[in-house]
Amino acid sequence: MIGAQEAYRIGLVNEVVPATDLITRSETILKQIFANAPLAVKYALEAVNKGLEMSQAEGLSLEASLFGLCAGTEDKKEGTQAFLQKRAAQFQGR
Amino acid sequence: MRAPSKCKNLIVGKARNRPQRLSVIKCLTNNLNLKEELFMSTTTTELNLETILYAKKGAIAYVTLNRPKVLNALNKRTWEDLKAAFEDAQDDDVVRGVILTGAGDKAFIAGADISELTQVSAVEAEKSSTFGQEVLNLIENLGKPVIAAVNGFALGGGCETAMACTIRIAAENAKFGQPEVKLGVIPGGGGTQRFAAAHRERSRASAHSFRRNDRSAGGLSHRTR
Repeated sequence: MIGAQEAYRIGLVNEVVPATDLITRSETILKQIFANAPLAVKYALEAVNKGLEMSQAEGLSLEASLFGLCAGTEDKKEGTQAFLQKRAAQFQGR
Repeated sequence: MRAPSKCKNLIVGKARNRPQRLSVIKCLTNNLNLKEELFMSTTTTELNLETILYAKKGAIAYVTLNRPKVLNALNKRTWEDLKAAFEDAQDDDVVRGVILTGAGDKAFIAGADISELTQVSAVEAEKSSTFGQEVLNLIENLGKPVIAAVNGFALGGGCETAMACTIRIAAENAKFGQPEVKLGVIPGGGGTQRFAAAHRERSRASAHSFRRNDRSAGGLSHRTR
């Protein structure tokens, strides 16, 4: 059995926080992720998870396909336009 | 019964459930320092969940293992309830991420229900292992980030459940381990696979850009406090 700091050292956990901060810190991280385009987050998770089970060549092919799917979304239009207009993007998850 | 004023945002199901559920929420908010305005939706009741609390607030769904007397040990019903809650979170477009934690201040999930393990045959054990793996695959591939807020023991199936999540945040008192071999079995919820995969990636990462900074040598970690 190992403690939190050792779990952090070996890469098993991402952060160690005081017990009283556990939920608020988790909420803060989720809210940072929520600022991104939902479909892009979904496809990024899929590319990483499935990619770990594939050869690198297969993983790269999957990445290219999902990149293409993202490029067809309304959120990609909004995200790129917002970037060029130097404003915060309003993503719809479409 | 009227809810106490500071719990006025609580949305509860059938009236007969109120006193108990309010006290459970109070217990949760005390132990985990959840905000008082965190409300329990009617979802726990609707999904007929016995072993977990399931609530949604804004874009976040909160899944809380709620068997603190047995350190939130996983039994058959708990796996079924986890599946039902995560399927709901996956299907609900309003939900964009999930926080998974355990009730009480001792355990996230202390592992499998050992009394249940003593009763099962080889065939039943293989079946329950496969079912647990299915539930953890669902969590891993939810399509939405899942944070394991590890508030205490994460042993055996608890450690495996945490590893299936997208991100793991540990309280300072958290403990991790796969003690199955001490009981004459091996991890059966993906532990032999996910830890090895994470370690392989870590080794690969640490051979490159992470070596110079030992604090992120894991390649999976980004910061600490």
